[in-house]
Amino acid sequence: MTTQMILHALSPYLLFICLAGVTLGIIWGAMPGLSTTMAMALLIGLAAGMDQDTSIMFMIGVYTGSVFGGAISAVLINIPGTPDAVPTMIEGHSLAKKGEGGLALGTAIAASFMGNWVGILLLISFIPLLLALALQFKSWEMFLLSMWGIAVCGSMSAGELPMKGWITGWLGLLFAFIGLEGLDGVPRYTFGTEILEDGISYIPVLIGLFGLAEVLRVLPQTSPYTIPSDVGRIVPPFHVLRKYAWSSVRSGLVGTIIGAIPGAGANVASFLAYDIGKRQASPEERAKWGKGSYEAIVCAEVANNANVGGSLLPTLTLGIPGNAAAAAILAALEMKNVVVGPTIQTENPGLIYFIYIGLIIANFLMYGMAIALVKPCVKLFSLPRTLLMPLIIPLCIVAAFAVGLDDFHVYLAFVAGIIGYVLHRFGFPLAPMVLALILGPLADENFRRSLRIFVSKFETKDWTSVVAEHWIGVILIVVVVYTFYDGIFKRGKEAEA
Amino acid sequence: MSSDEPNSEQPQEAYFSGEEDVAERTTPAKDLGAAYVIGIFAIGALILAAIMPVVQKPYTAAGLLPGLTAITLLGMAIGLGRRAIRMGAKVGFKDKFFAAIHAFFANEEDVRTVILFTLVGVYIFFILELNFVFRIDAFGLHRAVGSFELYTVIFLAGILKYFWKSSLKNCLLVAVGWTFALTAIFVHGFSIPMPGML
Repeated sequence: MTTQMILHALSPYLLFICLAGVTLGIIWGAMPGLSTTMAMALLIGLAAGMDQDTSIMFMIGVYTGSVFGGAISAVLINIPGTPDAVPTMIEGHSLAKKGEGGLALGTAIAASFMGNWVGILLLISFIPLLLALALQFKSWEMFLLSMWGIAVCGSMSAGELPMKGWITGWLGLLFAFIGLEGLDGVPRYTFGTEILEDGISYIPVLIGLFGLAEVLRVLPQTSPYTIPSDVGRIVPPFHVLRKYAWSSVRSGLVGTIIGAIPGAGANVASFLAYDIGKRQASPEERAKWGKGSYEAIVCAEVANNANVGGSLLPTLTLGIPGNAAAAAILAALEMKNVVVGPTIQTENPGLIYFIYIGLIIANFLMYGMAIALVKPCVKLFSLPRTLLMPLIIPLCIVAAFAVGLDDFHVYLAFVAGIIGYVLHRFGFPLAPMVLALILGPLADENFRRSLRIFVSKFETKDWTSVVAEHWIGVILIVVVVYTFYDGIFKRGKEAEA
Repeated sequence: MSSDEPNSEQPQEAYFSGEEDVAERTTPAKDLGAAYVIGIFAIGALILAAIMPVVQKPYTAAGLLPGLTAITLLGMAIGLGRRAIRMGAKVGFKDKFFAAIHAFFANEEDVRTVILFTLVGVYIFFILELNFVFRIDAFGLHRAVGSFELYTVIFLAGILKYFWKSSLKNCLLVAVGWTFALTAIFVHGFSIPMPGML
């Protein structure tokens, strides 16, 4: 089966589609103001018209390309194309000012290539383990895992005040409850309207929150930047990676682990790896930190690219996306009626191998296209944002329509865009809302099913089996309680101080 | 390089403010305002959850988790509000509220955002509600041009003219080129119809 999958993934058409995805992703990621999630959310529309394998190759290509793309504008024009490229910007742009921009970008390319490999290898290693563990999850565990996913996503995305992340998560949960509920068919929050009975699809919401809201926020801003006249020769220096081999491996591990935590994406990964790298660096190297350090670029870029593989771990094994971009991969899979989760191997034999191969191909293509696209990207930077951003508006509308061929989805994306803009202005993160929309129905169904089981066990006074059969649930309760405790009593107090 | 860039001799610090950068946009007064709105929303959601029918047992009621979610959301809103008050949000809250509204409409960027919102809203309404399809069968050309193409060219050219401030000819050229590129990719490349064409 693996050989079949490899040969299938290497077919010229799929290679071309993956190349198109990687190219679009790099260009998108490189453009200031256009994030990875935005690319993923909007290009779902295009994936809607593709068959399953084509859409997977395309979305994986976009994901891999756009995470790296942020480094180009970070190094060359001192504006991070994506938020996770901020550490790369600090170090790379300092090097660019010294005339070492080409080498800095080359280091970022080599580090991204390396980071993707670490992420892919860890994904391949840990999926069987996680799938085996996921099969032990019963209704109560799935409910707790869903709630923990939303809570930790809120904590990670909101920075100093996790409460705000939880609030958007909880708002997302309430939106997720709209529609006919699964057990008894009772309408919830539909106000008698038929159109709401099908519930709120998270894909148009993703497009609205990360596509339209971003355009509405960024387009009216004026922020000119200086275009570099000469980039220099782009040579990925693998001797630099050899020199910082341990930093690469450590940052790759950090990136993958962070990616596997719901809500913690490439941004957390690159900052954390950068911070750990700084503490672990030799005094001589540490002195260069913040003024142009190649090791720092290696740490940040390896971590944010390793995050891609990490974020797919919970997405594929539990159906809980590692971050908002992985939610778009989940959406692309769900549009093709692929049910991800513990039974993915049995229900979709060979799919996981296809995704592994897709990631490996996308990584090789990213490496080649990154070197080829740096100079064209510099030309693109000379195009004003006020010209590029309006072009995204019709793309948002077409993408929202394409996912369900339904006018309601377009209105939904628009309303989500307004909500996203308002929440952003009030300092609320958006990713927890999307995660809650995905996990809400899962949490609700499993919560009530587990209550029914618990009540029957309590009626028969079968107390011991409750704890014995739900030891994972007991651990998860502790984890959930600690997540809230940490957010309220530790980080909340620190923020006030 | 711009003049306000930091001196390369001074090491720069990478400041992390969460997976989404939200730290700069929050003030205690804004948080208090948000807490009021979220609190009212949570109470509304709680009332609606409470009146949802119970078909089987109370522990399988449709309104159970929505109700619990609404209660905890209310608790979070109270927590956010209390924190904002501790940080001085209540001092002159009414004045701050009206000053914020005044500042919003005095800020050019915010006014441009409102205009953009309105334009996008009207554009979506036109595409979805006032739709039509022209079929061109002349001179060997067989093509369907829908309301999406027409409205997109008009609205996109308008938005470009307002924000990009280039000549109308350039704006129209970009709008026409982009609209037909989108149609070509989605309709002809992937057989996905445009909004308003069904």
